[in-house]
Parts: sequence; structure tokens; C-alpha cells
Amino acid sequence: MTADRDDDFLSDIWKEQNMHAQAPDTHRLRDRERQLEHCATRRNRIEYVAGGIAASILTAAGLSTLWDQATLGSLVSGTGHLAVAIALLWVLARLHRRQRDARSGDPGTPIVMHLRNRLEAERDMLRGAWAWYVAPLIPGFALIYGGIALEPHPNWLVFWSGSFFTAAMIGWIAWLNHRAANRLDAEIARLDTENDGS
Amino acid sequence: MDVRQRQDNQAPERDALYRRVADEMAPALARLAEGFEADVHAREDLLQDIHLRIWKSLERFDGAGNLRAWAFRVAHNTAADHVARAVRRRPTRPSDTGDVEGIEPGPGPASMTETSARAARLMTSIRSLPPLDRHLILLYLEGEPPRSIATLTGLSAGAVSVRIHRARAALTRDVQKGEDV
Repeated sequence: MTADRDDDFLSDIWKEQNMHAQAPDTHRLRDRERQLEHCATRRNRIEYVAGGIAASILTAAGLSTLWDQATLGSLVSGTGHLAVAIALLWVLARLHRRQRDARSGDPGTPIVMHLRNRLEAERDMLRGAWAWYVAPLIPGFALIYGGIALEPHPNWLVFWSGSFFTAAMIGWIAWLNHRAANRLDAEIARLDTENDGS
Repeated sequence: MDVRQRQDNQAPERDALYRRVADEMAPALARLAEGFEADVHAREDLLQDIHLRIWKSLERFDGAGNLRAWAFRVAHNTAADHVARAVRRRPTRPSDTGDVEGIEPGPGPASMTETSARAARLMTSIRSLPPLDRHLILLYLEGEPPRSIATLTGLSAGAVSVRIHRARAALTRDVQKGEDV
């Protein structure tokens, strides 16, 4: 079949579809906009409340450890709990700022550039997750486990199992982010190749 | 004047522009959603999102520009975001080209007319194309000339022609193969 016949063949089929599609009116669009905003606000609020509860529990645990037992180990461990609570609040604040900033962007960007921008933004977020999401928690955890080791009679089982589990979780999160960022890099490279070498 | 006040002042103008887009382009936007999403419920959601984003984007539309091209660009970017989100949700298939699996809509083969069966085959075939080719072929089938497609996508006119030529041949082959079975 020649190119012109391909054109006719596909165009004929194409034009037969969805000829009577209805567009939503502006009232429905306003309702949908409100619904989406409401969902996003509710989801964010749940995240902030959950983070706030976790930070409060850690703060209470840290203060009670500092208050009850005046050993070097409890002092270090209590400080660690407070450090993790502060880090958690800092992470939530960063998350809030990122969500607020993510709303901007030119809706009329050419499609390929839009795709590339989106992939790059996601990749950079994943690459940066180590610095803004994982790293702030490490000093607090190190202090908590350091405090256990500094107790007069350390519970080594708790120390080793806790340290191992925490390190494994942090390592796993970092690895997942790294892998996802590499995949996005591959997608960006594929997009560039398709764009250049078609 | 704050942002909300400015938006309220622009609302009647924006609504009028949106009505123009809706009157002229509703079928094309419905076909675009179908070209990117097989699942009937997810497709309805995508279509609503496309309309919503076009309506919202018209706040920033420069009246001197081409309204149809603007709406197509916003609509295709919304579809691209939809595919990207769907791929992120299914990280176990990295080789996926972005097709969103789901229930194939429409009646079964026995109740289909030959026309609707061919249309369904064409849509399935379009959804199997790489995402970039899908954008190109959907714009092409809507009658956009290659130069306009190049501006909309940001690709060179040469690249657009080559890719459309390939995609068109693949689609014709697929649809005809279905007819022969």
C-alpha cells in the first residue's frame, strides 16, 4: 500500500470515532478543580499529622530518657531521639516546600521538552533524596545506638540488631532511589536518541 | 491585585476561550485520551484532566497565539504525564513503552461492526507505539500538518516526517493483519 493510500485508510477509520464526544462545562471543571485541591490538601495534612505524631513520640521518648536516667548513655540516646524528631520536622518542611514549588510550570511547553523536563525533575528529586530525606536522620540514629553502647551494661543484641536493621533500611531506600534515578537517566537518553536519530 | 482576584477577573474570558476549544476539539480530545489509555474508567479520568488543564492553562494563554495549537500542547502534555505516572506505578516492567493496561473498552467482536472493529484495532495498535510516536501519530491523524507537529512537539520537521511515515506504515500493517485473521 502506498503512503497516500495509508493516509486515506487510517484517516477514514480515525474520523469515524468519537464524533459526538461531549466536553464538560465550566461548572463541572470548577467542581473537579475543587475536588482535586481538597484531595491534595487532605493527603498533605495526613502526611504532616503522621510526621508530627512520630516527631512528638520521639521528642517525648527523648525527653523522658534524658530526665529519668542520668548516665552518659541515656544522655546520648535521648539527644539522638530529639535529633531524629528535629530531622523529621525538617524533612516535612522540605516536602511541603517541594510540593508548593512543583505547582508552577509552563503548560504550553513543547511536548518533548515537557517530557524531558518532567523526567529530569523526577531524576533530580530521587538523586537528591539521599541528601534531603535520608541523611538528616543518620546523626540521630547514630546517637541513639551510640547511647546504647555507652550504657554501663550495654544490651548488645539491641545494639547490633537495631544498628543493622536501621543501616539496612537506609541502604535499601538509597539503593531504590539510585536505581529509579538510573532508569530515568536511561529514559532521558532514549528520548534524546529518538529525538536526534529518528 | 492578588492572584485570586486576577483569576476571578479573567474567568469570563477564560470560560469563553474554553468553550471555543470544547466546541471545536471535544472529539479530538476524546480520541487523544483513547490513544493513551485503554481502561475505560482511567480514560474518563484522563479526559477530565485534559479538559481541566486546558481550562486552567487558558489563564496564561496569550490571545495572539493559536488557540488550537495551545490546547493540543496542553492536552498532549497531560497525556504524557499520565503515561509517566502509570509507568512509575509499575516499576517491575522497565521496558514498558508507556501503554496503560486495563480493560479493553467497547463491545465484543461479535457485536462490532467492521468499522468499529477496525477503529478498535487501530487504537490498540496506536497504544502499542512508543509514547513519542503516539503523540506524533495522534496529531497527524487529527490533520495537523508536519510543520505544526514539529512546533508542537519540539522535534525537527524532518524527524517528524520520518517518524510519522514509520508509524503510519506499522499501523496500517497492524490493522490490515487484524482484518485478515
